[in-house]
Amino acid sequence: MRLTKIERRWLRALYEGFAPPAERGYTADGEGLAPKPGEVDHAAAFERLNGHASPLAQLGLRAAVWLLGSAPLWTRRRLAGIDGLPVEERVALLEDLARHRSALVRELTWLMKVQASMSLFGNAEIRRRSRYDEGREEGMPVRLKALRRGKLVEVA
Amino acid sequence: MLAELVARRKVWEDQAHTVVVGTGAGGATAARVLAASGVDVLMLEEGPRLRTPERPRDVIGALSSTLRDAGTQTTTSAHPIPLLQGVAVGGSTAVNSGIIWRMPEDVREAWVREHGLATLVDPAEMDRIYARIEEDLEVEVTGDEVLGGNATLMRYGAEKLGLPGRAMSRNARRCKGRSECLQGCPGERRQSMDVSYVPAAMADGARLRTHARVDRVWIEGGRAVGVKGFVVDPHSRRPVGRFRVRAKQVIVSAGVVHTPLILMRSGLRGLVGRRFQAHPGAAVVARFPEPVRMSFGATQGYEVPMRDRGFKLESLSLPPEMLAARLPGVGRAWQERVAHLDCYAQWCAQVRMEAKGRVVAGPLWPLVFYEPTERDLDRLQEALVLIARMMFAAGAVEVYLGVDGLPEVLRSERELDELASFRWKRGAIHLIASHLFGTAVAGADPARSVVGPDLQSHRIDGLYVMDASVFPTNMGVNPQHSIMAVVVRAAEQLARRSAGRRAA
Repeated sequence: MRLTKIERRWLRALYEGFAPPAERGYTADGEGLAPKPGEVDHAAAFERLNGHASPLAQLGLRAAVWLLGSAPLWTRRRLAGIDGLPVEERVALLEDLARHRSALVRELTWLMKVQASMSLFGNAEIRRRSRYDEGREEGMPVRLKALRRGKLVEVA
Repeated sequence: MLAELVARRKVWEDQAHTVVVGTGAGGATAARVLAASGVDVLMLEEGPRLRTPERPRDVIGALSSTLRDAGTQTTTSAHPIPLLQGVAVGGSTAVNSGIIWRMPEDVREAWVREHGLATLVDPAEMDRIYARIEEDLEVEVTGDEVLGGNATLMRYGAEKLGLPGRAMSRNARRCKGRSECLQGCPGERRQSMDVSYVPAAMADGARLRTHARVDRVWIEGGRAVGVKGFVVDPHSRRPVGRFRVRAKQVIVSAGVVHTPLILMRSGLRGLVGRRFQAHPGAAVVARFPEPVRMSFGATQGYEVPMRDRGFKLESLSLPPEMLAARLPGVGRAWQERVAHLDCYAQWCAQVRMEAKGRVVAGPLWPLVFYEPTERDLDRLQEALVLIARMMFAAGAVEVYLGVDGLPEVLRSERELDELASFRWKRGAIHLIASHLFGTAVAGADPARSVVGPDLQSHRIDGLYVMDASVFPTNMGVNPQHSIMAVVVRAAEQLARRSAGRRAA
């Protein structure tokens, strides 16, 4: 399932809306989680998963790229694809789509967010920066604390 | 479809006394029992044989290499439910969390009373078989040292609310808590079929052919005499040629969706494909003020069985790709939550739904018609609300129900009370199902079942079905152990008959 040139542009713009790259002024709590420019090959990740998806899912995902990619036209009446919007506007547009009155639009937006997440954390460097895997190698049980009456107490 | 028409080239032929279609909990167990009895067995598997340390660690790689349609197989409805089924050596056991439950006594009694399956689920025989499987698969209650933060918090929440929780029994005695069951245990400690019964069957002389998708049972004179199918490309999974296997006995163990399709293409009708049942579920995520570290601990370690309410709650750790996707927000708001990826817990509900559906071939791809009833949805809502209450009881600072149309973030139980007071819309809940049942049900009465108590087809001699397709009801608990036990029982009887015939 090879994406066309315009689909690739839209896909990158969509994923950058969900997770804006570091150069655009967004960083996540100093953890360095925002992707660096060109760090993630979103199209390759999309094609890799969807090459194995059911025919119906392939259709649905392609429809999602077109629906969300062309959203500036049918939500903002602007003659542009999502790649024609600055990143701040893309974020606002995706927030609107996630709360859209149509359940189909909301579902497809959520589906693309799942894809964006898979693409992002499928990248080994971003996964390392997320520190998700820290502590696993040691095999040490964690000490759990929970908020009880406004105070942190150890629960296990 | 077109590819199947094009793939006319015959690539290979083979023969065996017994051909087993599929290598999941049913197929691998049947092959293990028969091979140990000296039967010449050939196992056919549509997917690849992957050594677990070599399996992809990232979710895209894991889904596309081991799950049917990379996890995108769904029911056919306005609100599709993904149906997760493994398609690799080991079947769904290669991707599950190894949770082991004996068949509940009320289920066993219903099978005897309503379906005439007394010999199949004889209690003394079943106890003997369960004990043997538990020994073979190194079944043990999950220890505190590998419970991990996700499950430990769930235990704390359950205790606070006085719920009947417990550490899970799993087939992973030497578990190191790497939380990578989906991707395959790197140390091969979880005893899925690909690392246990398939190699054991091969040690006893069984053979295995992979990338072999069985299309139909070969029937001559009302008797199964083998199978025919397609050789599939390892990467694209598209047919590239044909094969056929001659055999005296055929055991179909291709799973609840594909077993009935094989039977239908072989000319069987009636109840084939009907009585599809499942345990669909959904999950709730919560943020805690201190690290939970989902990356350490058993993927699933703690459960709260609420059998009288029709559901079971389980801890379920996720890889970062899937966990991040569950966090609310877009752009900076999402990234800020993602930056604290080690502070989240996720617990899920599996509902024993009363709904019954149907699997049909469909003009282009298989169709699974299934829709939960109103009562099923009430149970699901009750289960998700209870999970959220447990999370607040355990000290969560934010709870994400993940229900479309409801607030994305809950910060108090009072907010939850308001949401719990009305019925949520069906399409608002993202359901997923991995425990599937029915579609070729067993029973003594040929008018009400597809196979008999010996799991042999009522219509075709020498054709057996040995997987969860034969279950006449769902169970409310994880099915792997029951599938294996029922198959051991039937395969032992079959081995004795085969030995008798060989001696004669």
